[in-house]
Parts: sequence; structure tokens; C-alpha cells
Amino acid sequence: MKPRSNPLTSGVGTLVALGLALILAVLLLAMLSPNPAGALRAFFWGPLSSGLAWGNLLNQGLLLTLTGLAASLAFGAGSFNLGGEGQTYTGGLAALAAALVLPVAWGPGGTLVALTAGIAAGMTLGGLSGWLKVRFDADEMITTFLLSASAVPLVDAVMTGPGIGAAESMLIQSRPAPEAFWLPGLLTPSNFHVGVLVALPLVVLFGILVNHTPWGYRLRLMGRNRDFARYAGISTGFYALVPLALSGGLHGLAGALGVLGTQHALVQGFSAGWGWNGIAVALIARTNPWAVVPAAFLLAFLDQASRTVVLQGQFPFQLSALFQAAILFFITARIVLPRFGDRRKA
Amino acid sequence: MVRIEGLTKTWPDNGVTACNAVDLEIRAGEVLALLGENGAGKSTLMGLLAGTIRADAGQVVLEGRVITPKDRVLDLGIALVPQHPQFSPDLTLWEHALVGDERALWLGPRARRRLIESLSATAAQWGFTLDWTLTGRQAGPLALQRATLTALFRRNPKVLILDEPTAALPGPEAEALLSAVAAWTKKEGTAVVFITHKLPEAMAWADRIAVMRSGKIEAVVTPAETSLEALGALLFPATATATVEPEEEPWVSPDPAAPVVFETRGTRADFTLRAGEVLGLTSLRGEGAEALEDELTGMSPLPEGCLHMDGRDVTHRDIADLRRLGLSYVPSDRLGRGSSPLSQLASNVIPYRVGQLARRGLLRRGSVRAYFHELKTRFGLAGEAGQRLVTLSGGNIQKLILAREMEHNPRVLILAEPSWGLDLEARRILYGLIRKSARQGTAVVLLTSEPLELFEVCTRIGALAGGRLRALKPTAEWTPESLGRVLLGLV
Repeated sequence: MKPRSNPLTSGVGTLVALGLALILAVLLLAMLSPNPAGALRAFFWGPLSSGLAWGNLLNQGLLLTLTGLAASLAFGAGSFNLGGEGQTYTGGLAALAAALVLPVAWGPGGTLVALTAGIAAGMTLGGLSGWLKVRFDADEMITTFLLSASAVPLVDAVMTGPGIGAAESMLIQSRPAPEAFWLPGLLTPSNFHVGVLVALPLVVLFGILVNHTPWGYRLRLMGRNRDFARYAGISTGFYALVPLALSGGLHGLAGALGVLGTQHALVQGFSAGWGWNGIAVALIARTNPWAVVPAAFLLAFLDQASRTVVLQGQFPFQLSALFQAAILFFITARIVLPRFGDRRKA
Repeated sequence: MVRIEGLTKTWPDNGVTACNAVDLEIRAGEVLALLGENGAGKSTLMGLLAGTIRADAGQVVLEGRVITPKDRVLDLGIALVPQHPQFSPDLTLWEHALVGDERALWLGPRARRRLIESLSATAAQWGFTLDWTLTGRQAGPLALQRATLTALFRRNPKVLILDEPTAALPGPEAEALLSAVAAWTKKEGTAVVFITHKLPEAMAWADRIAVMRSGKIEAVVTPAETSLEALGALLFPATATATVEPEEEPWVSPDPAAPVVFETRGTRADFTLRAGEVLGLTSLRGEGAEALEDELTGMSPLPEGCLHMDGRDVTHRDIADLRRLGLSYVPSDRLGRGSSPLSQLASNVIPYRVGQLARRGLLRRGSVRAYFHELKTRFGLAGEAGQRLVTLSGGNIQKLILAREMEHNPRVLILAEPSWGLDLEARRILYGLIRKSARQGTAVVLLTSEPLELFEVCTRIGALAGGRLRALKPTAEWTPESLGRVLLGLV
């Protein structure tokens, strides 16, 4: 087994990968766009050019911080939560359902309850996978993914169903939540709102928990070598279940924030990609909570930049996805490959 | 028929010379038994012969022709049946029989039936029946070994090598296999080499018996000119020397009135262990000592009987409880179980200490590093707190694990194969640490597959054979010879 490179040089490696990815971006834009100069400008300047753009960037960056933190927590403990998408979506449904049921007079208190409902829903899904793992040794990669994949169409069915569906809308969406429970918007008319700011204290909280407490030490030991953790007397059941439940809870919170802060209703596909991109964020951040914020904002910037280019008609829509894929490929190849290499040799 | 000339192999990862300029002749029409203690180099020698291991020096001459690295040794007629053949879990046994000899990409149902019939016929010739439609996952180790034997036999080998073919076989089946082997060599003028730990088997079926020790052929004899006693003495000579010089301080024998700390009752290896004792338990490979590692340490449930610590029944306690009660354990799998290779050194020494090291719930880097440095000074550890464990050498990793398990003067210390891969200096340190621990009142259990090691540090030695403890006596009442006889099942 070869010794791993030290964190400093691997940090440089990530920057090199990022540089390569940006060069690729520039080349792609230059080759494929009818107006290369305009496209480049839209790409690099678009996401920062106005209050609206800033708002969308901050909103997406903070949401990805939440889902990235969620994925990191599970990854750090050696549990692979691939169900973030469904946990987020279900969290949104639970928050909306709570908002529709609660008396409007509750105001901000009702918002808190609705957010809690979202967290609880995600936690239930994630915790269920954790329990299956502890009880039946079921692979959490499979159970989280399958539970999530079956949750999405269920939520879709419920959102147009009796009591929740919006009768007169052309979109597939629910009735709106009462305005009293909406989270106040920031930099309107962007998607930004006060709710997503909660991501920052949560990063600090989990950063300290994971990196500087006995609990976090055991969690990281589980992620590094589960057999050693068991040998050292660490409760492998507890540390398999709790991180998955917390991961699900954070995803649920992201979904609830999306519903109460931006959409104000449950819209089909509203969480598009938050769960999956959270996994990308966690991989770039190497499951370290502190690194989640820059990684999330990097991905958010890429997404917003691609959208701007597409909106300005410089690019066909599919190319935006290709573009992000190419960039992600560079970054994750740099980060993921050595990791899997280690696992094989270990 | 085959001449082995000066074959030498040193394993680069641990520097052990498994074969040291070995010369051996294998004659047409003979069954040659290869005997030797664990680690004597038998399997390495056979791997070199079969071309699955590349030699550092020396050559194999088959019927007057020197085998080169480019040759497909199996096609030349030398076939090896390993003790644990490698199988794909998803392929069936008949599919495995085709590996290396694929004649068609696809076999129709009829051709498949014919193939299975002819495989079964070959197997019957060797005295066994097999379900060829089992997959590698479903088949047990015995079936896998038999399938490999059958498949290789169909390649018309001139020399067939069997690595412990009878280790897992009940008596009559072992006899059937060996008599089939003997009949085949006589009839076809081929040769068979089989590795075994069972002396009576070698005496009954081999034409000649080669004894290996420490990478060299010690003697080649015929059953007629030797006896079980003489063979036993060759394997475990009375003159076998200790690998390490005696310790400087005189060995204080443990207090016979010291309290009983660790005890097993109704198990396959019952013993009572007092504070300050070092109990060594050993067996030949597969004869029962390996499994004790998991059973005595709570890693897997005891199949029968119970475990007592300080008079308390701890049979059903979980691992965390056993650690709290003072059971320390140095596992044989150092990187898989005994440490977290990708974590820092500091993280590897604190798992039992995190609670105490934390202040108001926070685990500060400074206090963790300070603790590591304290341990480093006390035990002479290598490396820095922030270094990853994998960057250390095997000996230094073992030292770190020993330090972690011994620093709190545990009640019981269980060590499994603690000297594997360690050089002489590292062994000397290891034995010193074990003695020191015992002097401070820890009850030590040493599980090892190297019987001679026990004479270095143990106050009592127990020998297992056939899965059960056969004899348990103070070290002074054992000789390497008498221990060998118990291990070989001669007593």
C-alpha cells in the first residue's frame, strides 16, 4: 500500500483539476458558440451581474451546502446515502402538508413546525435505510436509492391528489402554502430567502461535531475502517443508523426550505438535482464539513453560469448539462479515483 | 522425471527466505510426501515448481528440459491443486473446469451434459462425486478442491502437486483419494507430490518423504527406513534453537497464589489463567488455534461453554464491555482489524481514550497530540501524530498497536500471531513488552502458529490438535519434540 499524498499537495491537485475544467469550459464555449466572446462573458460574469443573479446563486449555493453537508455526514461514517433526491422531495411534501393543515394564525411558529415536519420526513426515510442496514445488513447504497426512487413518484401522485392538488393550475403542482408561513424573500425577485441562511450555522455545528468531538471521532473511524471500529468497541449499529438519519433530516430540511421559501407550493421536480449534486459536493469536499461551503458554491456557480449562457441563446439547452458533466468529471476524477484505489489496496 | 535445482525465493514484502537453494528430485511413478512445520516453505516450493511463483534463483528441469518463465508450465504437464483454489463465486464448477482450456465460446445443452458426464466419470475415478452445477459461492472448500483436481487431471499432467489435499477430509475419504493417487502414478508412470501435516498418512501412502525446515530440505527418507518417532524428531528437533537471545532480567515465575483473572469453561480449550501468567496456545494450521482468536475476544460468539473474567461470566458481553472490563487484544490482522491504516497515528491510539481526552465534549487536537507523545515516549513509537498509519513499517505498526493495548495495564492481554512479519529486533522488543506486561500483573494469552516461539515467553504452553486442547503444561515440562508430537496427533 502506498502512502497517501499529504493534504496540501492533494489540495493543489484539486485546484489543478479545477483549472483544467475551466480551460475545457472556455474551449467548449469558444468552439460551440456562435458568439464566443459573448458566451464567455455570460458564463463568467452572468451569475454575478445583478441582484437577481446573486440571489439565485446564493440560494442555490446554500441549498447545495445543506445537501452536501447531508451527504458528507453519511459518507464520513462510511454509509453511502444515495437517496438524497427522494429525501429532499419528501421533506418538501411534509413541509407543505404541515403548512396546509396548520392554523394560519401560528405565523412564524407554524413555519418552524412545517420545517420540522420536513426534517422528520427526510429523517424517517434515511433512518429507515439505517435500520435496514443494522437489522438485516441490507446495503444502504441500495436501500437509500430504492426508497428514494419510489418516494419521488409517490410524492408526485400526492401533490395532485385530493386536498393538496391545485385544481386550476396548468403545472403539476399543489395548492400554495398559506402566505403566513412563507419564508421572507431576499434580493427579490430572486429565489433567495432567509431560510437557506440556516445552512451556515449548521455547517459550523456539524464541522465541530465531526472534527472536534468524541462522537465525530468515532463516526470518522467508522468511515475509515469499520472492522477496526467494531474491534475498538464502537457501537457499529448506532454509528450506521444515526448518520443516515441525520443525512436524511438535512435533505428533508433542504426540501422544506425550497417549498416554503421559493416555490411556496410543491411543484413537480422542484428539487431537481439537489440531492444528486449534494453527493458531488461531498465528494469534492472529501466529506469534510468545512470544505462543503466552497464546493457547494463552485457547483452552484457552474450551474448558474450554464443557465445564463443558455438563456442568452448562446447555447442549446443540452450543452449546458454536457458542460457541467465535463467539469464535474475533472474534479471528481481527481478526487474519487485515489480514494477507490486506496480502498482496493486496503 | 523432475529435478529442482537450487530454487530460491525471498519474499520482498517481509524479507523471509521461504526457499533457500532447494534441490529435490521427483521420480516417475512415485508418490512423494512433503512434510514441514507451518512456514517451512512447502507451499512456496510447490508454487515455484508449478510456475505460479517466480524464483529468484535456480531452475526446474522437466524430463531433461529446463523450464523457462515463458513456458506454460501446466501445458508441459505440471499441475498444482492449491489448498484453497481461487474460484469465481458466480461461475459453476463445470465452467471452472474449462478455465484455461476453453474450446468453445458457447456450449449447447447437449455438449454441456456430455462434459458434466465425463467430468463426473473422472471424479469417480478419484473416488468422489460432485455436483458440477454448483457455483463457486455455493460449493464448499472441499468441493472446490475436488473440482480443481478433476479439471487438472483431465489435462493429463505428468506431475500432480496436491497442497494439503486431506486437511479437510474425513479418514476414509482421505484414504480413497491417496490410494487413487498411488494407483495412478504406478499405472501411468506419473508423479504426485502431496503436502501434509499428517505423518501416518505420509508413512502409509508415500514412496518417499521429504522433510522441509526453514526453507531447506532437511531429509528425504523412505517409509521403510524411518518411523513416526523419527519423522517427528526431524520436524521438531530437540536442538531447535530459540530465535531470540534470553532476556537480560531473570524471568520471575508468576505467583501461584495470584488471583485467577481469565478462565474458559466447557469450551474446546479450557484453561485457568492467573495474573502474571503468559499462556501460549498453538496448533498446526487448521487444527484449532486460529479460531480461538475470535472466540476469546468476543469478536464472534463462543460455540460452547463460557468465558469468565475476574470471576464474572462475560460470555455474552459485547466488545465495548469487554474492553471496559480490561480485556486488551492485539489481532493477527493488523491493518484490517487492529488499526485504521488511512487515519493518523494519533487517531489510531485514542479509541479507548476519547472520552477522557475530551474537555466539555470537545476533543482538542492539542490534547490528542500530547497523549500520542506521551505514549510515543513511553513505548518508543515511531512517527508523528499527524502521519498516516500506512506510512509506518509493519514492525512499527505492531509496536503502536501493542502500546495502545498495553498502556493501561489491562487485566487480560490476548495476542494473536504478534510476531508475524517482524524481524529479530522487533521480536525482541515484542517479547520484552509481553514479559513486562506480565510482570505488572496482566494475564497474557499468546496464540501462535509458530510453536517454537512459545518457549521464549510463555510460562505455560497448551497444544491443540483436531480442534481441541490436548495438553496444557508448564513450559519447563515441554520440549520442542514433545510439543511437536502432540501437535501432530502422535500422542
